[in-house]
Amino acid sequence: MILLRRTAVLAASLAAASAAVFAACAVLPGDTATVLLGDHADPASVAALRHRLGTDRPLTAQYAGWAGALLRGDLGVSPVSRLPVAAQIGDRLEVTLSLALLGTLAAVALAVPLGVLAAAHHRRPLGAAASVLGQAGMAVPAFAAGILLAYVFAVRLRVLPAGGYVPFLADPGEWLRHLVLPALALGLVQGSVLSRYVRSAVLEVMREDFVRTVRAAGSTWWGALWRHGLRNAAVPVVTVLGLQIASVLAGAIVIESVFTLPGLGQLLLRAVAGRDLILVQGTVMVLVAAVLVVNYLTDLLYLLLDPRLRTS
Amino acid sequence: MRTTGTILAGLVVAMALLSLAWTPYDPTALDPAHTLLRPSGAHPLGTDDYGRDILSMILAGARTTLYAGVVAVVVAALAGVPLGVAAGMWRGWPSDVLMRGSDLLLAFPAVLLAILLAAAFGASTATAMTAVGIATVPLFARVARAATLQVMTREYILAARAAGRRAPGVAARHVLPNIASPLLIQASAAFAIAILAEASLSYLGLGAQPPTPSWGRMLHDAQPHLFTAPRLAVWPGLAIAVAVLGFNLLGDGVRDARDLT
Amino acid sequence: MRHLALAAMLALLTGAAGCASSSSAAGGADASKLAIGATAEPQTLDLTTTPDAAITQALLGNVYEGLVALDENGAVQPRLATSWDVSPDRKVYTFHLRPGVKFSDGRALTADDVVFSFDRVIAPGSKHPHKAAFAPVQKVTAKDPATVEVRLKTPSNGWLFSLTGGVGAILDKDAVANLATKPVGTGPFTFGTWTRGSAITLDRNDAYWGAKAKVKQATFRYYTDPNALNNALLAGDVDVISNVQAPQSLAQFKDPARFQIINGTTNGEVVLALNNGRGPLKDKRVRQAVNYAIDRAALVKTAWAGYGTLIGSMVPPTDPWYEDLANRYPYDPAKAKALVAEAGATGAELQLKLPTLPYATAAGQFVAAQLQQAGLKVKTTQLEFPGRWLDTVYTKGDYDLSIVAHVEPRDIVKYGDPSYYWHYDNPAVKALLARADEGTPEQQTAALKQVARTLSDDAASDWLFLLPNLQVVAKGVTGLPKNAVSQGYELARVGKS
Repeated sequence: MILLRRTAVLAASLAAASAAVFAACAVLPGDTATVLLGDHADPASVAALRHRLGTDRPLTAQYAGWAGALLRGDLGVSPVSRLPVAAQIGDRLEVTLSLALLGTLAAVALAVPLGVLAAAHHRRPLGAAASVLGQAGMAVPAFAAGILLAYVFAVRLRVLPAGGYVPFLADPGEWLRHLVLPALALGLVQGSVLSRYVRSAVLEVMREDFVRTVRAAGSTWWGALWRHGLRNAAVPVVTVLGLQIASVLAGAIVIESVFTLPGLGQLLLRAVAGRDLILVQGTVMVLVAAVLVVNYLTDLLYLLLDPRLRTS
Repeated sequence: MRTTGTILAGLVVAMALLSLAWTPYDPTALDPAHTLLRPSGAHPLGTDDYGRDILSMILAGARTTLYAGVVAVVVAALAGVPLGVAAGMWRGWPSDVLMRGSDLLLAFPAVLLAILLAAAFGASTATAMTAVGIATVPLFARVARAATLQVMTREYILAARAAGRRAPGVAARHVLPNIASPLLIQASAAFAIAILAEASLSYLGLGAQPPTPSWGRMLHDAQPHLFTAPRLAVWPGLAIAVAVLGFNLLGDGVRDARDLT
Repeated sequence: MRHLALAAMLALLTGAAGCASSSSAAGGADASKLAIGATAEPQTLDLTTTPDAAITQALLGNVYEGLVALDENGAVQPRLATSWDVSPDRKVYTFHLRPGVKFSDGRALTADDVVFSFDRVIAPGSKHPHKAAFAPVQKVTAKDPATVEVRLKTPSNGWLFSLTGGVGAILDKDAVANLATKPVGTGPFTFGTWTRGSAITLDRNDAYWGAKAKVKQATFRYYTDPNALNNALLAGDVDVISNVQAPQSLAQFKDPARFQIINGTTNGEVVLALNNGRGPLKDKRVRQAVNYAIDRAALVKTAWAGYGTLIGSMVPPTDPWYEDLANRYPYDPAKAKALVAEAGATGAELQLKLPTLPYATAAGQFVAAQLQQAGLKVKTTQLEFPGRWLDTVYTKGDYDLSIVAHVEPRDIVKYGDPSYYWHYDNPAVKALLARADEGTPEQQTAALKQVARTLSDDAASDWLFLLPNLQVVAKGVTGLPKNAVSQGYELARVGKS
């Protein structure tokens, strides 16, 4: 029942998002035809191209056409590159997903030790130090961290590339090499934010009765954490991770720019500049859908991990 | 922690206020004869590649930063708080629909909105921060709703409702004053996010436009000089970190897992 | 748990750094592979439908060739045509094709391919972006497999010159189905692969008719952020920065043991466009005041790190009719102020609408500051390029001042079109331009000199400076074209050791 309701909400959200995305693109000044023909255009050929592209139709008809095709999984064909939008997004999706995934891994790798440390040494100097470190990490813009990392590891030490991307299947080693710096830059900020949730989740769990019982039976703080605490603390942390997906993607768009990774962010910036509206709509829609679906899955996972919520 | 936050945030506000009355030089005045000067008595932090005084730019940049934060928070609060309060007072399906509607915005990352808004209305601090504000609406709505739900069980509300007061009146007179403090804390955290976002969006060219002095813009413009004059990046970077840290510490304690679920 | 996570992170770092020695895809140590860092990636490779300079940059002279080509000094030289005859009335051109030329798919070039390529431009309903350049063409015929005759309606110097650009590229008539993704030409390179969003790879054409390319493979790598491009060269990911977008950053390449900075010229006049059609700038005195008000030498120094040439006209030094007009309006703020006052424009507000391009942003701040000193108010707006800028400034003409580099060769002719966004309308200039196109080369030179002088006297625009062709090259890379006068970035002579 609850599953059905969540799914219905997801479907309604996707529909509302598609309308919002289309409306946003419709109000952009300057259209595909003018930009495509550049400064050699005469009004007649602009009008002809508009007619050919169908951008002279009423907006409702354009939306109906686009959304209808979307339902069939067809994102259309870009008039600028004359390539299917789905194929173009497919090319770039791997980059953004790789970055988001490795960035999240880096964030977790940073947040868990930092957060647990802060909790273990709660109200003691080491804990305060861990908290301060987390606060400092949150105060650094991700792109600045990226620039700094590129400067040190690529430009000065020359051990890692300064940018670019190699597909995973082409060469997994190179893939990783090209993504280490961007992922660290992304993970630093996300991880700092996350570390605070880890800290409070661990503190909360360790105060629970069953943990106190275990500790009274002679288990150490770390032992209790290892056997009982982590699993329980993971629930809220995973939820936060799911909710962070939007900000991870936002961060990825910026980081792509620093390291010239040919991902969705770069595709989007380029498409907006070239008024390739079909491509803009498709890309935004894919990003938004990704967030919605991840949130939906997080919801389900949450239900799975915490049965108490199923009845509410 | 909160004292530190007050001091740091206060410093930013003080810089902004000072810059209204006085800066060593006009922060936008170009001086081709004195570019990229090292720090000296005349220019305590040196000059940039246009010969502008960096100290003056940092001081005036505080204004842009505060302006950015205010725009984002006002946009988010104006939409989010009424939404959250209404959802808290109504309950049932209208509440559900309102909250789901606001949650939909969570799916639009701020950068995405900023790219679209900049393309539609031109890049500026105001458009960038409106985008950030819109993306932050759900957070305000959630905090407002959670706080309203708590307040609604209080006796004075029950009394007011029993006396036949209409909902908007109750909301304005009894609910809002009593949920102000969690909202202020949320506003402080949102302020910090907005400052970071301003820097990132300026880096992408979507934020403050020259000659408006902006820390994010300064950081962006410093990049070609990273090798020869790293100080150009250090000062705005430091300023951003201080401001973010200040407002984060000020609002510390809110961004607890509780508020996000 | 904590130790595990830390260990994992360290492994990620060190493990990745450990394989640093493994070779990357292109560039770097391998001397047979050349990687060129560029900033603008094409959206499509079909140069017959899209006016995208990035397409010709990568393909012209490398994959595609024309009958003629430009040398580094801007002179027209034979390429696929060994020679051509011009009739006495200068309306009939007979091109003699080079023997032994083959397309990369193995088919021999014949006159039919030339006819096919040119007919594609002039065909009714042609979508070719540069079809205006072929307006004088009446008929193209193949006299025999090695001879092409082109009849013009009127004599035109501009037409022959246009053949050196993308519009003159000779296509394989049997291979145009995939122009957008798989270009086929006669050049020293064949088209390899295109990884959208990052790179275009060209492979050496071992069956090329002329001197073979020195490197086996050349890759154009695209970087949207100029600083990322700088980092790429510093880190050894690319061998060349083909066009430096932030000259301020050149200081980091000063080490002669690692890099060489090449400073050549381009066709890119950075024009402070004045809207001659509206507001205070309708008045010639205000336009002249703008010219007096701006210290262009200081502007180049602050905005473009001192690189760039002051030309004072729409003519780059590589054109035969170049004259140094840089001192026609010396920097004189007092005179500027007086002229503004005389025209009654003191305090008038001008809309400076800048495209979001590095040189425009940089120069714009300077221009605004100096015009304020001359008694004009300037309101600066940044418009996203190309989308919003084209719409607002170019199409709607809603601006007073703008800054944009006009990079097309011989674009002085645009001043003959009153509907062009400058809205400069002078029948005398129009007549001179027509005479220049139809006349002998001598007449052309004389007429265009006069046009340039008239434009300068009228202060039709303020020509801020000529963009330099700044390239940074890693040590060991030789043979790069110094000047960017051709539309293509020719790589056949580039070697790497």
